Amino acid sequence: MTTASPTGLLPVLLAPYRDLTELRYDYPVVLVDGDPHVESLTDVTNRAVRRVAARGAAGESTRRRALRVEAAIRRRVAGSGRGPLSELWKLATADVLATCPDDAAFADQLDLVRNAITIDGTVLDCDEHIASDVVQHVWAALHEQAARRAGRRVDELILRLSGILEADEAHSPAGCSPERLSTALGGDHRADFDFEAWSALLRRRPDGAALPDTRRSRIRSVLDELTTQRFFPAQHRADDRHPQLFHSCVAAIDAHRERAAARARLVRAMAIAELEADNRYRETEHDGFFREFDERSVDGRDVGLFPSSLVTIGDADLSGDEHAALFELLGSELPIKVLVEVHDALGEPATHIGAPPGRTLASMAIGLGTAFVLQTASSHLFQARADLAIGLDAAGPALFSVYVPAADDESSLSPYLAAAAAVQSRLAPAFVFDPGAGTDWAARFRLDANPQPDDDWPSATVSFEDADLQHRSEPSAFTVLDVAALDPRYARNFTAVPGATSPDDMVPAVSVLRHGDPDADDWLPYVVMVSDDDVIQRLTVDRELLRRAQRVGATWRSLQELAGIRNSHALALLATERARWDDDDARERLAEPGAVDPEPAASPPAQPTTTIGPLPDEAPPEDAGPPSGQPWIETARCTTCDECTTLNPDMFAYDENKQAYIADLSAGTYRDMVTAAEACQVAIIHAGTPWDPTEPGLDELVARAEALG
Amino acid sequence: MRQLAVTNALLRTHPDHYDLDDYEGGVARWCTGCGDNAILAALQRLCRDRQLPPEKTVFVSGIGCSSRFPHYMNTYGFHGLHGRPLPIAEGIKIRRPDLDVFVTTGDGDCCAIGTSHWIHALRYNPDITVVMHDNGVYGLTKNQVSPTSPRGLRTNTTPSGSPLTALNPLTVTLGVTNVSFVAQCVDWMPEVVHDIVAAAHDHQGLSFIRILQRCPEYMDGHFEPWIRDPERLLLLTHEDGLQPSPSTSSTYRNQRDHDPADLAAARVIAETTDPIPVGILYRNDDVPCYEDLRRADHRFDPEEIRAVVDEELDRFTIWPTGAAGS
Repeated sequence: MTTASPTGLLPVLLAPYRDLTELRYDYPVVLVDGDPHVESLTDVTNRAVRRVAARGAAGESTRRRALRVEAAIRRRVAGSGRGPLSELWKLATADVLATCPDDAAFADQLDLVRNAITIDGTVLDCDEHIASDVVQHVWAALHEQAARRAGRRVDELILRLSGILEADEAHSPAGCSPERLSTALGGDHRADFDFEAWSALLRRRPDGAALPDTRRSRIRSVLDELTTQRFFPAQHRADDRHPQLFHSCVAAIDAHRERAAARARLVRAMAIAELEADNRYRETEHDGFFREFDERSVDGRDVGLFPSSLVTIGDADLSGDEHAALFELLGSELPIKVLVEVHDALGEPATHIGAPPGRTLASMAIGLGTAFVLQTASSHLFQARADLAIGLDAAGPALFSVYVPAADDESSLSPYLAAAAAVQSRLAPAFVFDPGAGTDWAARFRLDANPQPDDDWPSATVSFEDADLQHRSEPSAFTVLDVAALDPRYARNFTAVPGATSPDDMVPAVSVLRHGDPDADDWLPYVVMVSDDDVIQRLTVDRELLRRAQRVGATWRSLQELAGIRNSHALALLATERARWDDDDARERLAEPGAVDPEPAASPPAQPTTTIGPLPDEAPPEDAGPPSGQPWIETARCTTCDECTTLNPDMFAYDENKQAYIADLSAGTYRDMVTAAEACQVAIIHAGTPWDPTEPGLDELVARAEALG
Repeated sequence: MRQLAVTNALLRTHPDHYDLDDYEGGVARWCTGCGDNAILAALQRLCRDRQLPPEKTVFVSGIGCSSRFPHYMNTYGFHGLHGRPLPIAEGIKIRRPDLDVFVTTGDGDCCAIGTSHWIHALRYNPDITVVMHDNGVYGLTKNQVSPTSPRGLRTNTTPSGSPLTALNPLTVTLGVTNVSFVAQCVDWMPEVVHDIVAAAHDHQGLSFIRILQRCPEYMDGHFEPWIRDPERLLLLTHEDGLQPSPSTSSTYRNQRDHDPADLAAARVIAETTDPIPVGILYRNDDVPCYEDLRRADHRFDPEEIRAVVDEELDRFTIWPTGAAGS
């Protein structure tokens, strides 16, 4: 056996992906204006082709030719040819047409497809800049949207408060002066008006209360604050907003601290303006509160009104101060978003060094419980675009930890494949923690962007020819060992097994990771690689690397548990319940028919025999009335027609719903009662029987009352 | 516009409270026994129950007895031109969507001179509450026939009796594109009037309520048979519609389950005049409101408005030779 050199060898599962320019996948992407901010070139082409190509075989030619242009763009972009889609499409079309210059129909078909593409934007490949480019693009779009929204709120408040002052001014003696009225009218017709008379008329109008001086002064002071703020764009002012893009967490926090007082003054001014505009400012209640208002008084939800800041930083720059500042801001309510580009996911090979700090940031951040956290790799950024927008748009802080293979990575893989391999191997698993999505882990935490998230390691079937030229298929897992086999720093941890040798004690390394003890010496773990000429080669793995891979697996298992996958608490509970069920089942089987049950089953709960209160359908009608011939009114049916209250306003009155009731029986006579009952158009006054036997004409009145029924 | 959290907290800490008399304007000058009184009481109750700030509430009317309404409300009001309350209300709502806008109109105001506005307001579907007081006669001008007068009604303009069958405002309304809320009630069922105007106010869109209303002067006794016999009123009940109290149900037992989402059934019910259907005939919460479709992304300041108006006017100005702008 000889020491393996990783160069030229690929993990067997990656062998089909050597040349990505010939494949259709998420990259390159197009940064576009408007939602969803990031499009895949593949999707853009598909949509355009669907619009113009006929269905079935008739459209096949157009489809194939459009795909050739797409492939040409992919090749250009892979060679650092980023640029606008419109420009790249033109160049790629020229590339393709050069191969068949005499085919006029070809050019026409491509023109049709081009015209069906309704978007434009910069086309980017999955290179070392992709994470910062994509995150900055989406952040800038959302940031500007939020800033403009808030700016419009401020402008509207300025307008409404200005309107109050203008109305006050217009009603003042100065506002009604002949001179002021004259200037308010078009120049050509001034001679036709008598402004003195007009002014005199206006001054004779009922005295509208002028604004109190305190209110006028308060509104002016608030207007000063609103018109000089530097957080949002203003309608009639040059853009002098505070910068919000940083490359240091310390600098971002310092800037927020410096601006905290100004932010508090603006929130205070907006709150007063909102109250004033709605005429709800009460000096006795609100003056004291606003006098004491400072940074500490600003509600976290109102902080969310302010556009967020973005920090982009590499993992190598997360020194002690930056690291502390990062976690300080993630634990705060500040609207600061941080992109950490993790360039080394695997770390140095020495055993005494733990996982590289960049790789554990996101896992640590979810422990805070308050910040939005997204971990992914540059290869999966397109898939994560919706979550990216959610995190950037959320009110509080957010961390985006993105593994981006370093530009000087000596691995033979393309940046896309290296990043995808990190996700596939669980080295940089993709996950989202969104505290705004719910109150429990089931709602907040997701692992579904990973391949085969229910398994320890993802696997696929590999087909190959064996030494006897027979076709064979075997399942093969992809683990962190495959990634390490591509990293020159780990070359010494692998040993090549020459030729077709396959000692009996060799086992796939993944078996050891799943079931075995990495320190046991009774077998030889290996990974399967292929050479440039597609010959399978086995590399044995040393114990040190196996232990490291097991730690990566354990971290993945922890994430699975958080996501509810094979959760150990749930499994333990399930086992307990199953054991209990088995015991019960066994007891039932042992019990002979007719035998006395030592523990009789609990009888079903007794049904209540009494009902408290009337059933809804049997509720007594309101205004059922006194039973003893006393006069009464069905108040709920009163139509407020004023008949009875006009007849005797002391005897009859309206309640809080403006419906009549008998306010004072002694304030009227039985005659009043009978007359009111006769006048009531909805017949809800019941006269009852006379209460004063000395009242004259009672016989006639009683007869009239009886006639009413 | 969403308010700041601090503003909301302050408003919750010191809430304003309005009693019924906070909504009472001038003393109502309607005839004693007029059904308009019941409608006034129901709308004042609604304002109090929903705690609508008087300065953020507007009642708009046209001409007629019912159109005296804004004078009796202590809110903003606009006593407009005959037949024109709807375009005025639409203008208010478009310009100030934060206000609660009500329209009180009569059968003459709405169904005669104001017909075109009625139809198009329904189609535009602004978020306003339209209450049509239908007494079937012109009362303010002393007894002339109206579109909803019953056939044979003798008035000053129809001394031999009205020759035409009455217009049915419900079937007309239910036939208009974009109609989103239609209800009917009678003024002598105050609880139901209140519940229906409350449902109408809560609906997002134009709510059209026809209230059959007694006129003691010129239609005296017209509704007497229905007042005396509760069986001649058909209560339309539904879990998404009117849910009368046990007290009302005990008096008005003639009830039918009707889903307000069922437009076809609503149109059939609307054709019925005896028994009189009472309840929510139709409601569709998915019809967009015009002011939402046309909402500007910001409030224009006076300079912007002046510039746009000047630009428009300049397009039609004939400038003298050599003058600016020629």
